[in-house]
Amino acid sequence: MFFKLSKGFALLAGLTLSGVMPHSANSAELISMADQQLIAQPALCVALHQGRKCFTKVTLTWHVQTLGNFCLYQKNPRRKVKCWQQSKGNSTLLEFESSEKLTFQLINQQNNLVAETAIDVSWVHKATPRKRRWRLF
Amino acid sequence: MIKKHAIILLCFLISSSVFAVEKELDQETTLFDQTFSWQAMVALSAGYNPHMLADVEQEEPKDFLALALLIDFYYKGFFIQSNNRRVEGVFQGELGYQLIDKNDWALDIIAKPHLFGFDPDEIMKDQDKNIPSIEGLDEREIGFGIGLRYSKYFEDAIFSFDIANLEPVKGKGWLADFYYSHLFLYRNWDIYAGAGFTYYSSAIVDYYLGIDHDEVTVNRAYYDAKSAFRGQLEIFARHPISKNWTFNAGITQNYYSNAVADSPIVRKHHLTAVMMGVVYVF
Repeated sequence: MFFKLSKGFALLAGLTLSGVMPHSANSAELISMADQQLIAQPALCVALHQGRKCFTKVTLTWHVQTLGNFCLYQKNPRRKVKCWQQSKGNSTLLEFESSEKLTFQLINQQNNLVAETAIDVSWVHKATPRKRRWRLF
Repeated sequence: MIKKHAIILLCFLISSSVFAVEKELDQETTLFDQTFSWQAMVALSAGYNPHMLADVEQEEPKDFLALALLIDFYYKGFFIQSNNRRVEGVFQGELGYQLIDKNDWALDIIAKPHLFGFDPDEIMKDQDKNIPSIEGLDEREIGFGIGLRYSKYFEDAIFSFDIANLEPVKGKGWLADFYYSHLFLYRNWDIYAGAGFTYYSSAIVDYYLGIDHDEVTVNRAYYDAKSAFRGQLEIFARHPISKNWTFNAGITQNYYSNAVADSPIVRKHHLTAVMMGVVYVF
């Protein structure tokens, strides 16, 4: 519902233009190939107020060139989301619940980072020093 | 008259600022480490909001729609707070100053229009018809007043008590307003359930709803109003649509005591108002 199309295209472009050699999962550098992709949809969750936890259902879709064993992890805090055996691609539905941006990584059986994506958190109303009270009519 | 009030308020705010307690930023979270903030919004809504006056109806499509610019502003205790649950214009907001602002309670000076006035000629012109129950009545001015608000904050609720004196009713126009609102969070929804109780002095009720001897007609008996109260129950919900848009909807049930409902120009004891709309936040 809150997917920012422009951001999605930027992510795809970034994945397409990034390097081709797999690196360690601990590396901050994103390693991916045009046909090794991890996409979150929507990639943006909008909360009403700054600092408030945001909720949405996110579909994480990945595909790679060759068959293998892959696991999807949430980064910081690191948490395993799901693993697949002998697969070239799949998707999973995630209940996103966070007040800040979360990054997800696709890791192969050699513990190398294959692809990465993030779900950003934004808000409508920034935090204000005033505590509000209003009635409707 | 509003200008006169604004000057009085400004003088009072300037003099009282010396004694005011500065915001205790060190006790706030980092989200609130600012002394200046503002936000502008445009609100569009549709609603069923029956007029308190008998025989004044919502008929034309424009009577059900409203568009407004809303501005929130805060600077070192001074604030303008728009009512972004209603969309009837920026002057629905409040001008105020934080006298005391603690983590769990606050005391503010508030200047705001508490009651709508009405001009019978304007209403009949707008409705394009004569309305015998209000025809020939004197205009009732907007109930602009200056008062104090005590607010008590709970984890997901707020209780507030306002006391104010309304300008059109020279010295005797007191009202006291109690309001409790509880916030329920469900995923990205903010759902507020509120209850209010407002006491109006007899001078206020008589000014707005009383019928003077020179206003008596065959359709309108003399009415000397006593003090009155209003009870309110309200549910309001808000949900983000995107980074700039929110969806809002709400319903309010009002109950007015006999001193209001017995007036020959008033509709009835109960009034139910419903609205839904969108707000664009800049």
